[in-house]
Amino acid sequence: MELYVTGSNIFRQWHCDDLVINEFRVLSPSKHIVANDRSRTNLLEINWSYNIVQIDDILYISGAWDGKENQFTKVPLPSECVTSKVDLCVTGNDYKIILVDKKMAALWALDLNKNEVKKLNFFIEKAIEDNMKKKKLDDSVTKAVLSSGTCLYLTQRGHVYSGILPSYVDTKHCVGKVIDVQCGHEHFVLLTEEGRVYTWGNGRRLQLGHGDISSLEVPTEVEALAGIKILKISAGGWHNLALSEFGDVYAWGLNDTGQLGIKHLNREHNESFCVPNLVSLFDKQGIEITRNVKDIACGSKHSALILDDNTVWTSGCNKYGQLGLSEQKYPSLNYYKNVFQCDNEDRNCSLICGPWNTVIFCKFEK
Amino acid sequence: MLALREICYKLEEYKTCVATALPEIEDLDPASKSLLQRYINSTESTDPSSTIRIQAILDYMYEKINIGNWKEVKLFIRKAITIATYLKLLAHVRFSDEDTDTIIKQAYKIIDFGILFGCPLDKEPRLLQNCASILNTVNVQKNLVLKDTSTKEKNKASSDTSQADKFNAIQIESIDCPSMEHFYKYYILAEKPVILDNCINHWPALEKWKDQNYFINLAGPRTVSIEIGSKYTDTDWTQRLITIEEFVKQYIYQTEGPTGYLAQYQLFDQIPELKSDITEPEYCCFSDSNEPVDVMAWYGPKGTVSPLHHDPKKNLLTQVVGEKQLFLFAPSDSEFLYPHEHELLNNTAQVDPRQPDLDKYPKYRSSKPYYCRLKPGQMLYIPPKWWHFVESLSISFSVSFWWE
Repeated sequence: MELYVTGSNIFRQWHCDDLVINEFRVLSPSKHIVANDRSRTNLLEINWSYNIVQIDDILYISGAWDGKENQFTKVPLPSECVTSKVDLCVTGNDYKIILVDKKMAALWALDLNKNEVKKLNFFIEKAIEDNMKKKKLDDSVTKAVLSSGTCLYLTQRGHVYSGILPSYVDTKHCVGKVIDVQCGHEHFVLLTEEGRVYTWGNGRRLQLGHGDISSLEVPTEVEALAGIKILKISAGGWHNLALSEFGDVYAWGLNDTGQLGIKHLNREHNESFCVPNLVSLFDKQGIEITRNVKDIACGSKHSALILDDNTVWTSGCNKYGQLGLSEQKYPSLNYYKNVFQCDNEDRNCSLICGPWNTVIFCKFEK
Repeated sequence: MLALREICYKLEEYKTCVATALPEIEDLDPASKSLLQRYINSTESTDPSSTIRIQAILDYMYEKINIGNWKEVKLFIRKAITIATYLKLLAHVRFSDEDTDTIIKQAYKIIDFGILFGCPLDKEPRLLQNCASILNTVNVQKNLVLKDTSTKEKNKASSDTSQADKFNAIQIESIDCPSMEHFYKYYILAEKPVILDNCINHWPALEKWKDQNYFINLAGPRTVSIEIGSKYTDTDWTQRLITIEEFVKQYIYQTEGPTGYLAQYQLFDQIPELKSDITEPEYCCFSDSNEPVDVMAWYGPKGTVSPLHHDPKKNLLTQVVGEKQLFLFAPSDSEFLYPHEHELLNNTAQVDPRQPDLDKYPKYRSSKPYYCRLKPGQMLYIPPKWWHFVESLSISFSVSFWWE
C-alpha cells in the first residue's frame, strides 16, 4: 500500500521536512517505517497534531507527543490491555486518546496533558439494563470516533453510543441497520444499510441539512436525501458530503472557505447550504464531468473526492496545502479542481482526511 | 528604521511577563502549549518555521472558538490566542521586509485579531492594547476623507411631541441633570425610562467626534467588527472585519448598497485613546454587582436599525453625534409585540413600530409605545427588559453604558 499525502506537517507527523506539504507525495508516517513494513502498516486516524498508525498489532503515534514534535512512539497501553491481549478500537483528539475494548467490557481514556489513564465502563441506563446486557453480550465495537467534544461508538449490530462515558443513542426509528457514524466539530451523522442519512447535534452553521439552524438531540433523517440511496457519508468540521449509489455527491453545511465546492457564479461570497445540494465537477474547459465518484472525505474546512478514473478533486481551505495545491497561489478554492491522478488505473484508491490533511490510500489490486 | 528597532525592544520587554502567564494556559492541548512555552521562553528570535507554527496555532484556535457558544469557549483557548498573537507580532515587526508604514499597519491587524478573539491574561490584562500604544508612537500615513466631514446639526421644524403623536406614542419625559437620589428613586427603582439633559456637556467627544476624520487620524488602521445588512434579523445580515478608515469611507458616507454598522462594540477597550473623550456617568454607580460597566460604541450612517428587542441590564444610551429615534415598550407589553420563537432570537420582537402590520400583529393595538428623538448631548435611561427599537436619522455615534 502507498500513501499519497498533502497538507499540514506542522508537528512533523509525516516523514518529510517541510511544515506545509502542498502537493500529493508518497510519504510514510515515520522514518522508522521501512519499505518492507509498509504492507503491514495501516494509518488509522489523522489528527491535528499526530497520526495514529498500526503496524501489525501495535499502535503508534507519529507527530506531536509529550510536548515534542517529530516523534514516533508506541501508544502507552494500560497494562491489563497488554497482559490479556484486549482487542482495541482507538481514536483520539489533541487532548485525549480513547481505547475501547471491542468486546465492550471497558474503555480507557488517556489524558495527553496529565499522562493519566482513566478506566471507564460502558455505561448502561438502569431502565434498559437487562435488554442492553443481552445486546452487549453478542455485540462488538467496530468503530470509535472522538470529536472535539464527545465520542461516538458504533457496534457490529448497528448500535450507537455517544459520550466519553458511552450512553445508548436510540436509533430504533432509523430505517435499516446503522453501518457508519461520523463526527463533525459539534454535529453527528449516521448512515444505515438502507442508504438513509440521519443527523443530530448543533445545527447553527447549517450542518444538519434540515433547512434551518435548529439543534437536534435525536438522529433525524435528512429529508432532502430521502429516496436517494447513500453508500457513504463524511462529516467535516461544519459541513458534510454524501455519496449516492449512482456516484453522485451531495454537500451541505458551512461553505465559508468553499468546502462544499458549489460555486455560485453570480455571487461574490460563498453561500452556505442548509439542505444537501448536488455537487457538479467541471474540467478546465468548463465542461461537466460525468464520471462517477467512488470515494469522499472531509477535513475541517475542505473536501476531497476520487472519481472512478482515479483522479482526485479537492475544494475548500488550502492554507496548509490540504488541497494538494500551492497555498500561496490558491489560499482556498470554491469549486472542485482536479489536483492529482493516481498513475495506475488498476489500483484501488480510497481517501482519508485529517483536519488539515488529505491522504490517498493506494492498494494494488490482486 | 531606527524607530522600528526601538519598537521591537519595547515590545519584547513584555516577554518575561507573558512567560509568567504561561500557567494560565496549563489546560491547553500539549502540542500547542509546548510550542508556545518554547517560543516565549526562548531568548532567540523566532525563525520562519516558528512563524508558520504560531500561525497554525492561531488558525487552529480560531476553529476551536467557533465551536459551540461563544460565551462557553474555554478561556485558556482564548488566552492561547493572546499569547500566540503577541509572538506573531514580535516576529512580524522584526522580520518583515516591507516598508515601515506597511509593517505598522499589518501589526495593528495582528493585534486587533488578538483583541477580538483572544482574552486578557491575568498577569498582563492590557498586553495587546499596550503593544498597540507602542506602535502609536510611529506616525503612519492616513488617507483622510476629503469632503467636509463634520456632521451638521439640522433644526427640524417638527417637534418631538408631534412625532410621538404621529405614532400614537407617549413622548418620553426629559429632565435636566437630576440629582443622584432623584434619578435612583423615580427612575431606577420605578423602572421608568427618562431622557437626561445636560449631563455630558463636559465630554470632549461632543465636539471632537463631529469630525469623522478624527477617527481616521486616531485609529484609521485599527480593525473592528461591523454588522452589514440593515438589521440583524434579515437573512442577508452578516459580520465583517474592516479597518476604521475603510469603514468611515465605505459605510459612513455611502448612500447605496448594504448598511454597515459598528454596533454593540467594545471600541473603548480596544482603543483606550477614545476613552478619554468620554466619562462613565455617575448614575451607573447604582449597581447590584461589582461587575464593571459595559461601555459599547454604536457608530453608523443614517438608516441603521436595531429591531425591537430587550436586554437584561440597565442601559444609559448616550447620543454623541447625530440623532436617533427610539420606541420603547414596558416588559408587560411583550405579548402585544410578537417575540420570535427561536431560542436565538427570543429577546427580539417581530413588530416594526414605525409601520406596524396590524393584520399580522393585531394585538399591537393594545401596546403602549413610548417615543423619543435622541439628540447630541442627551442620555436615555432604558430600564432592564424594556423593549426598544432604535433607528438612526443621520450619521450617528452613540455610547451605551450597561450595568446590573
